[in-house]
Parts: sequence; structure tokens; C-alpha cells
Amino acid sequence: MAVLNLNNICAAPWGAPLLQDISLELNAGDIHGVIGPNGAGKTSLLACISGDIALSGGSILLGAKPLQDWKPAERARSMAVLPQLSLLNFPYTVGEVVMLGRIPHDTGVRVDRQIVSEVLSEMDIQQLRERLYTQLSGGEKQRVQLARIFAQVWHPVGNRPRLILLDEPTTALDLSHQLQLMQLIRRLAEQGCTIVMVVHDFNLLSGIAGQLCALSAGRQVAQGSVVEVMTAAVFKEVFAVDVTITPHPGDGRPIVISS
Amino acid sequence: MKANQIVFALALLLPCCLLLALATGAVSLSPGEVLAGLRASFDSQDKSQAALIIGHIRLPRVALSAIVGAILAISGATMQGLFRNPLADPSLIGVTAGASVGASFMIVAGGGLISGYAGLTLVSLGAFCGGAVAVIVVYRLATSAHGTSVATMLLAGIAITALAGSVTSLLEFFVDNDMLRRISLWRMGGLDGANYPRLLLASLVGAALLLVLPRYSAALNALLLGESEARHLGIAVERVKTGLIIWVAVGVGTSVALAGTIAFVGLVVPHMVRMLTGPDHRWVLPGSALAGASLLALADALSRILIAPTELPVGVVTAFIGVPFFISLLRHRHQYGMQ
Repeated sequence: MAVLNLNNICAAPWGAPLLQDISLELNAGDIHGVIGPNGAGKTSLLACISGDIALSGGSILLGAKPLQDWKPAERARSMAVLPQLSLLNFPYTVGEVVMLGRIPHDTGVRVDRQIVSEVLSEMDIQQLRERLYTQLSGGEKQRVQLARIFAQVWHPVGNRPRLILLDEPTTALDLSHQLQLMQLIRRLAEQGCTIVMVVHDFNLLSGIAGQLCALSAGRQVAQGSVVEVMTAAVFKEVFAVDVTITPHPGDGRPIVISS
Repeated sequence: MKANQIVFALALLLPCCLLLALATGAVSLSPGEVLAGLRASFDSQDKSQAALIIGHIRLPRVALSAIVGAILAISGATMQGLFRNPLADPSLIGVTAGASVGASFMIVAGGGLISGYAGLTLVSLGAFCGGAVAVIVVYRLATSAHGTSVATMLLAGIAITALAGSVTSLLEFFVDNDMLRRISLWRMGGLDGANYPRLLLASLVGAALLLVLPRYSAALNALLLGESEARHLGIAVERVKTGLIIWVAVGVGTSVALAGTIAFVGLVVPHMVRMLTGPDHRWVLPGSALAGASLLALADALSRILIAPTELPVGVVTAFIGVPFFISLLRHRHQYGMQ
């Protein structure tokens, strides 16, 4: 059964259409990448899936139920969202920020603490646990926010679907933490999490995503496997840039050279 | 110190402040006399001087000051969380300015005719209605089909506050000197109208606020991340916002109606508590209530004795006590992670 089903969705929250006729079907364990130029509607697409923007047409199914039929608390146990930008400017400690991810759950303090410890060490920030969030560097803040998101859906609840939406998760991360994050995402997918991520680093994406969707001006220009979408023609159409696509010397997946 | 220890310390501080406030006044009492007087005031047979002073004059007043302080501080903490701004104040949503118009109008319209408790009650009623009208207008201005925007609310609150300020000034412009002085004294705040009926009303509202607002702690904690982040954490954000604004309006409206506008407590007490405990509302809300109660009880005691037998407006004293402490915290803010 599909975890997420987008059926010809359209959205126009401020009058002009932001998204037109987007359709996707994602199963448990799928990693789906979304690419496109600035303003193409990538963040809007995530906002529709997370219920922040009302649809003007089409429908979204999360699990077996329409998205709008999910109660907020129930939905939060199945779906976690990493925003592109985080504006937290209150001096929480790192541990407290990550603990916020456990708000939807009533698993008790002991389980919550255990989960927080696990995600902190996965994100390589356990040594920052007592530090104040406002005093961290950009990359450290990003890893704290990621840890909060992962804490929210770290364990499956019953047989409910688990969906993680990541808007530019690798922003401000150094190379080794980018790779660490990709490994964790792959592991979560193997455990049945479905992941939708907006990433501008195509070479990172081609190593992890199963499916890609290219957006341009709110329309779905290309949709399919990495090999199908990462072609010079699609890049020309979507980004108006000539690129060279060449196989990775190691595993043969496509990589993009833009000059 | 850990957050729970700080709240515990504040809980120990409050009874000390209350005892001190009960002992202070035109007639100073020793702690022993205060306790004896408290016991005796529940016994109608006892007519000792201490029992009369405590039972009739000081107890209602000190209790009212503590409750009003607690209401203002916990409301301020709630508003700062909701607006995600440590500089927000309960008066931001227009309630204080609206209450001033209502109270001034009542003083001008009814002041010459009615005096004593009836006049005081009428002024309080006017203040409460004025505050309520202002909040409703601000809330409606900020609410659209997309929900309530706290940023718009802040701006609408500033606009309504300015408008209400002009209306009050206009009233002041046309009245005689005696009324002008009464309006201006009301605005400085004071607890000299304390009596048991007022104390009962304040206790009911205060108890409701202290029971209800802490249940929003998790929602307020999530809201500090941002509204959509809170929604993603399963918080029914629109319902939470509406609920919080209603409760704060009722709380601040009541406290302004009973004690006039007491500035500073709602803004600075939560800020100071947050610097000590961190931003977690599970500690900030009770900590603010305790600290607000202590501060206002002490400030009121000082207002009674500083230039005795005349009383100073308590709003003047809260600022004199709190500001130096607040400034010292601001100077060390980097220690507390505030930017």
C-alpha cells in the first residue's frame, strides 16, 4: 500500500497558481528527490504534503486516509518535516530542542530520553547536548534540527506509515556530515521510512534517491528513476543550463558536471 | 542551578515576601504578631489590634497584590511565548489601553455622582469592558481566512493602543483638574481598593489562569520553533492561539480592572525567570507566577511605607525595584544565551 499518494494536486494560496497537476506515488522505504530552480515550487510541494498549504485541486492520501482527515497529533506521529529555515532564537539547550520532537508522543520520559540520546549520537552532536542552541554554528544548528525531526519518527507507531519531508537537509553541513546524513537516511528507508527531500546537490542525490521529480514553474517536468530524470535534456529544460552527465567512476550512477 | 530548583526557590521566596508584606505598614508587626493576627482574623471573637489590622486591612491587600502580580506575570510569559518575542507584553494586545479608556470614561461620566465602593466597582467594570472591546477588535483585525497572524496582531495592538491613548487624552483634555488627577492616579495603578469581594474575584480568575495556562506548556514550547513547526508537531495552532488570547485577555482585563495599570511586571518578570530557568514553559509559567506575586507584594508594601502616611502608586515602585535587577541581567545576557 502506498504511504503517500498525490493525485493531480494544484495549489494557489495567494491567487496565482504555485503548483499544477503534480502526481506522485510513494511506498514505504522510498527515497524521493525533488529538484528544480529557485521558485519552482519545491518548498510549496512539501508544504502541501505537510498540510500547511490548502489544495485548490486534486487530493493527497497519507496511508489509507485523505490527509485532511488526519488529526494533527496523529499526523505528527507519522510525519516529520524539516523546514528550509529555522528561526528559533530562544536559548533552549540542544537536548531540549531535540526533545521537542517527542511532543506528539506519550511514550514516557525514559523512552524519550533514550531516543534523544540515540539521535544525538547519530547526528554527531551528543557532545553539544547541554550547549545553548542560539550559540551554535549554522551547521550545528542544522544537525540539531535534523535530530529533532528524526526523534519525531524514530520508531514506528503501530503499523502507521512514517514519512519524513526534508527541505534542503544538507544546507550548511560539511562533507563528512553530509555523507553521515545520507547513510542515516538510507538506513531509515531500509526500516520502512518514506523520505521526500529537496536537495540542490544532484551528485549527492543521485547516490541515494530511488526516484526523482523535476519541477519548473509549478509543473512536473520530469518524473522517474535517477537515470531517466538526470539527463542533459531535462537540465536544459528545467535549469536552462548545459551540463554534462557522466557515469560515476565507482558505481556508474549519473553525475552532473555543470561547466 | 537547574530549572526545577529555581522554581522551588521561588516557591520558598513567596511566603517570605507575603509575611514581610503583612508585617509592613503604618504599624509594623513582628512575624509572631503577623502569624497570631492571621490565626485570630479567622476568629471573629478576637478583637486585638493585630487581628484587626491583618484581617481587615493587610490580608486582602497583600493577597490581592500577590494574585494580581501572578496573573500579570504568567500572562506576560504566555504572550512572550505566543509572539515568540521576549519583549512582548500583555498590554500588546490592546487590553491595557482599552481598559484605560473604559475606566477614564467611567470616572468622567459617573465619578461625580457615585463615590466609594460603588464608584470603584463601576470604574473596574468600565476598565474590564474597555479592555475586552480592545482585544476583540485587535483579534478580529489580525484574523483572516488563513488564520490569526501574530505579527498583524502586534501591529493592530499598537494601532489600537495609540487610538485608545488618544481617546483617553481627549477625555482628560475636557475634564476638570480633580477628575484629571483621579484618572492619572488610576493609571499609575494601586491596590488601595482591596477588599474581600475583589479578592474573591481575583482569586477565581487567578486560580483559573494558574490551572489552565500551564496545560499549554508543550504547545508554547513548540510554538517557539515557529507556527508551522508547531503544527508539524501535532499542535492545533489556531485553537491554541485563540485559547491563549482569551485567557490572557480575561486575566489582564481583571487585573487592570482591580488594580489599574501596573506596568513592568508582565514584561520583565517572565524575562528574568526565563534567563534563570531557560525557555521551557513548564518552568517559566509557574516561575513567573511565583516571582510576579512576590515582586508585586513587596512593591505594594514599599508603596505603603516609603512616604507614609501617603501611599505611592504601586506601578512607580515596581519599576524602581525591578529595573535595576533587569538591567543587571541584560548586562550579563550572553551568559544566558540571549542575543
